[in-house]
Amino acid sequence: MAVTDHLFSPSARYDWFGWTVDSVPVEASAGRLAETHEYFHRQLDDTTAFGGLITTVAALADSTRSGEWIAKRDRLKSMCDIVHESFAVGMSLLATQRRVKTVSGYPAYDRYVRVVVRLLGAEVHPWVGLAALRAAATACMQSGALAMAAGDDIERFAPSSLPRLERPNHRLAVLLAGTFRERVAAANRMAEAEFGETDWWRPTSGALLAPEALEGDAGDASGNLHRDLREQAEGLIATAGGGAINAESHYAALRVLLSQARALAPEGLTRIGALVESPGGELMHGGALDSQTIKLTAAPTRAVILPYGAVSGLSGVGSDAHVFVVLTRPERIRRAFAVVEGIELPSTPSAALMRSTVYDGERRDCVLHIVLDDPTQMDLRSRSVYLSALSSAVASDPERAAIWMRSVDASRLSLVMDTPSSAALKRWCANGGRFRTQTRLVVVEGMEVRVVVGRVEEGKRRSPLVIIPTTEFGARWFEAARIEDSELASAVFDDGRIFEEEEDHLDIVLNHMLYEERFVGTGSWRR
Amino acid sequence: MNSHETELVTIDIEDAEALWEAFASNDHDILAREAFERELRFVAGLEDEGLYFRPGGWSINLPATAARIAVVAAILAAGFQIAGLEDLDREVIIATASLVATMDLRPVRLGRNDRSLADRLRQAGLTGTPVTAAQAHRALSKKRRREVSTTEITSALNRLVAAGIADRDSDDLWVVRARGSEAWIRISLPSD
Repeated sequence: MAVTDHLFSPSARYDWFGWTVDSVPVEASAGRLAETHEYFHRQLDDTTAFGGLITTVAALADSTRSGEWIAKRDRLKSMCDIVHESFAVGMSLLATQRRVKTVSGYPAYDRYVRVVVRLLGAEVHPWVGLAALRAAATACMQSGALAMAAGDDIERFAPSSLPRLERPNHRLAVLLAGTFRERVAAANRMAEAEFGETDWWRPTSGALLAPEALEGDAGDASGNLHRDLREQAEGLIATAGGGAINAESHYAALRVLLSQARALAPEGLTRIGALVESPGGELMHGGALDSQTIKLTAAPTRAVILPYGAVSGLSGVGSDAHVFVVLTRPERIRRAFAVVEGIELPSTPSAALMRSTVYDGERRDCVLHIVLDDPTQMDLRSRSVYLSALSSAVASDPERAAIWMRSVDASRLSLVMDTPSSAALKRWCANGGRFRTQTRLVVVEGMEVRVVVGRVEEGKRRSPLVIIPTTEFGARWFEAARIEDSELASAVFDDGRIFEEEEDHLDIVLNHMLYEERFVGTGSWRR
Repeated sequence: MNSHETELVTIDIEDAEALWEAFASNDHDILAREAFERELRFVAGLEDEGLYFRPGGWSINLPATAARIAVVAAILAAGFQIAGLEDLDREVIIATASLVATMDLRPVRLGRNDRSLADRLRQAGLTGTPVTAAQAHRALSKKRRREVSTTEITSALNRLVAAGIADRDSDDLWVVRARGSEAWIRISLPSD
């Protein structure tokens, strides 16, 4: 098979739990488009009834690897894929200041662009377009399918039992055949009459949609427009014979479905993602800092595992010489590297490994991992020893993690987030703590990664150095989340001195992380 | 196994678009269009888990038999969708496609010049009119006439026949079909 690849046209993949993106070259704005596209898939699933149904079935397929659940998931996907792709294509174009036109280099999405243009009209203002596309997609996905599945019990539920008009693609076909486009055109005329003279309606900055268009009164008006058009879309679908569920009122059925699903997965639904991340089963919407996997390309594809004492395992030379210990899950190493050689990795849920890069001349040849049995094997208090724990290793093996993390001074201890982070930040700051943070761009062999770093401080206590690898999209999402989410707003504080304060520490940790990990990001624990 | 079964055929995103256009002329029936694409990609082995945003199109080399099955399955899936049978098991569609695909069916790759010859003949009012290669040659612009021979026009007309855009009226006469009435696919029984 040869899928045509374009060197600087990034690709991305959404798998119902999160998304994976390439780290992108500096200046590649297509990278933002690709990631924004996948984010909107996630958003649509997290906020709608049909999305809740398919992500729950996908979690069962993923946890059980049963052919029956995989077939059900794929059947449900085929019932909503046109809605999903049209929504993700249209929203990502509008949100990245592009017109709803075909994207050069991505011909497989041309027909979804045509669907969006048929649905909204070609001349609609982007402010109206955003509200209208979200309204249409939400009305399509807010079907009775979820309640029907929960009513049947998910174990007995057969996707083929769903009436046609409870399937999102059919609902979209109703909107395309009906008068939705005319209603959007009418909304566009009314909006132009009301806002046509404002600065944000006709931005002079070169942007298609001014940021102020979604803030303050304009933001409230956008919300009202969305609600109005959603009700009109629901009305068209209802007239054709379909049911409609008010936004967010499907959560009760989703909780029932989740509890049915948990009973079918003896080892748990660990991969359902943000839906079960929050305490008490509270459902929450996943964002970029909960779902991303970023593919890095600098690390060698070969890992070598050796016992302690076989070689020194020291990194750097002269005054830069140091020991870098990573606490990670052996499974993460097995999945990340194409070749894993040497002794067997420990069978424990987490393992402490002294890690360094082996060079062949100038070329990075392999990543060396030396297995450490316990913290007494070496002097972890030495100023040249750094310990970096992956958050998934801490979560899966808390006792071992605590022993190792207590053995190193906090100034040389880091926690690299490879699990959902926004809920974790809220939890850490729940009792008055605050996350003092700074975000920076780091370029690794021409590819860019954003790094959010900081420490949680509470009185005189301070956490390990928290490191959240992300993308430009993720960094922007974090900024926006801190404005919109009151818990994050009161817990997170920018401090432009952190990279300077932690310079030596970050120099060590980021070099090891970005040149020795194949995948990073808050969704990379699933790999 | 005859030679067709070992022969590799390339199908790409443009072939899929052209095949769909010949089948339906537009993509207003979004359900049928998606059923077509979904089945083609599934049988061709291009479908993975998840939803992607990938650059480029796709291009796949398949044994001729597998390519036939993929193309027929895609058309069948679209047809079943239009007939309201969208819950048919995929296996049923593929099994049916496998039977149909025992007939010889190979995608024809038309070049830009082949298509522009058809356009030129239509613009000259020769749609539905039997023409010789020499007459077709005269329908070209002066500049173009100097660049191509009548023999090359004969080959191009034969490719248009294979693609369903023209019919052969006799050994040396060809008839270009009206736009929109192209035969969507040529099926011939294997000779061996």
